[in-house]
Amino acid sequence: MSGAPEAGGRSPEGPRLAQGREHVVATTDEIKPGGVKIVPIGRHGVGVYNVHGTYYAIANYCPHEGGPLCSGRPRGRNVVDADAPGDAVMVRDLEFIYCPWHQWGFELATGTTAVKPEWSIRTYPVRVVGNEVLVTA
Amino acid sequence: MTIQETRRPVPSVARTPIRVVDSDIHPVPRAGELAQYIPEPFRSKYYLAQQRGESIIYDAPDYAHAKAMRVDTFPKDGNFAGSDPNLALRQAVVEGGSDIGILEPGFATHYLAEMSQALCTGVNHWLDNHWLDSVNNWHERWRGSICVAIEDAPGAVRQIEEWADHPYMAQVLIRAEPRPAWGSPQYDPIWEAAARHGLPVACHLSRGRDDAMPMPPVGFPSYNHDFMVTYSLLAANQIMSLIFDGVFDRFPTLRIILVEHAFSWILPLMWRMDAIYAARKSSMDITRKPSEYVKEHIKFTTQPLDYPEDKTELTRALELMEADKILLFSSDYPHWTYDDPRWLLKHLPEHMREAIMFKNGIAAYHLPDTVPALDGKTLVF
Repeated sequence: MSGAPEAGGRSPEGPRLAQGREHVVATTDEIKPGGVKIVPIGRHGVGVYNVHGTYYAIANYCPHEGGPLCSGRPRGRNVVDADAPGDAVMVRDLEFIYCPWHQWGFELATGTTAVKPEWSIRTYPVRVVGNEVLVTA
Repeated sequence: MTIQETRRPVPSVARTPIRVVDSDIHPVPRAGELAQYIPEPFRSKYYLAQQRGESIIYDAPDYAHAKAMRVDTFPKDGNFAGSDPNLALRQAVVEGGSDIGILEPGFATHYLAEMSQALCTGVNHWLDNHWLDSVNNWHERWRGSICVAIEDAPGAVRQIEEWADHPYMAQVLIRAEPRPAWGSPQYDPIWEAAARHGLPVACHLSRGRDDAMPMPPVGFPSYNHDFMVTYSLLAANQIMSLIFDGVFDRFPTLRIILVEHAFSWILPLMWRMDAIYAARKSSMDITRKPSEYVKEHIKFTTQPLDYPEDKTELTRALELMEADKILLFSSDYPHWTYDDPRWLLKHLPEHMREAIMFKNGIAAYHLPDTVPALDGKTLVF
C-alpha cells in the first residue's frame, strides 16, 4: 500500500539512539514531502514526517490498542461539503496520520485526535539546520 | 563454483507452551489461486462468470484505501491483506503473540446450495494446499476450518468425512444465514458427523448473496453501521433454536463456537431463556436450564469486545456471565477491527485470563499443550 513505509513494521531494527537528546536523524532530501522516516528512538521508534516542507516527529505508537502508528497513511481530514460529490471533501492533505490498525487519526502538528479528544500522542520538537533534520526525543 | 543451497525453515526442537489461541484469523487466496480448486460445473458456469469488482456495502473508515483491513497487512506483491502466510505469521504470531491461529476463510452463501458447497469444496482444498501444507505450516501454528454449506446437509457431511482426519483441520465452519434455523432436523446429519469426529462447529458472521443476506427481524436497516449490530440478533436466534429445539439433547457432545457476533448480550439472553424455561418447562422436552446448555456447549470469541465507559462494569458483566466458561480469545487479523492479544488481556479479570486466552481453546480444538518455539516471538503474558 502506498504511504506505508514497511508492511507490519513495528519498530526499526538496528541500534537504538539514546533517549532524551537531540539527534541528527536525516538529511532534508531524505524525507520527501508526504514521506516519513522511522528512527530507532525509544521503545517503539519515532516517525519523522515532511508535510509540505515542514517537519514533524511523533511516537510510533497508537494509544488506542498499541498499533504501529507510523505504518499508517498520512492524509487530510474529511469535512462536510454539501456541494461536493459524496457530500464531503478532504482538506489539509498530509497533516494527519491514520493508524494502520483501526484508522484512528491524529494531527501531526499537535498530536491531538477527534476520536477521543482527551487522548493524544507524543510529539517531539524538530528543527532543520542546513540540510539536516534534528529531532529531540 | 558455488552450489546454492535453498533451505526451508524447520521447526525448532525446543517446544514452548501454548499461551494464546487465536480463534479468528482470516486467510485469503492470492489472485487466481482459488478457482482451480472449485469443482465444475460451478467453477465456469458461476464463479468465473460472475461480475468482477466491488459489491460490498460497507462504511469502514477510509474504505477506498484500507478496504476494511489493517493497512499494514497488505503484502508487497500487490495481493490482498491476509494472502501471504508468512506475513500473517510475522504479524499475528511473532509480533502479535498468538501461539495458534484458527484460520477462518471467507465464503458466502449463494442462491443454490450446490453452488455454495462447490465453493466450500474449493476453499478446503485451497486452504490445505496453500496454508496447512508443510511449506506454509512448517511452524505448526496454523489450524484450518472445514468449510461447509449447511443448506446442503449431505454435501456438508461429505466434506466433514473427507477432511476430519486431516492433522491440521480443527473445526467445521458454517454460516448462519440459511433458513430454517439450526434446530431443524434437516441439519442433524451435520451435527452428528461433527460430534462423532470431535470437531466443534464454528459460525463466523457473513453476508450471503441474494436471499441469504442476513435479514434482521424487522427488515434491513438503513445504514451499514446498524446492520453490523444486527449480527448479534442472528446469533441469539440460532442459540434459542439450538437449545429449545433440543439439538444438544440429540447430540450431547456437540460444541458450537460463535465467532465475531459479540457476546455481552448472552447474559440477558440466558436470564430470559431461563425465565421462560422456569415458567413453561412442563411443555418442553429439554431437560436442563437453557443457561446450562450455553455454558456447556457454546463458546463466543472475544472480538468485538463491547464495554461501557467505566471498564470495571465490564469486569462485573464477565463475572456474571461466567466468561471463563464461554469465551475464546480472537484477534480478527487482518481486519481493521483487529484486537491485539496484549490489549484484550487487560480487560479480563486475572483469574479468567488463562481460560480465555488458551485453556478453553486447547480444549475446544483438541490442541496440544505445546508448539515448536519461534525466535523472537512476543510473549503476551
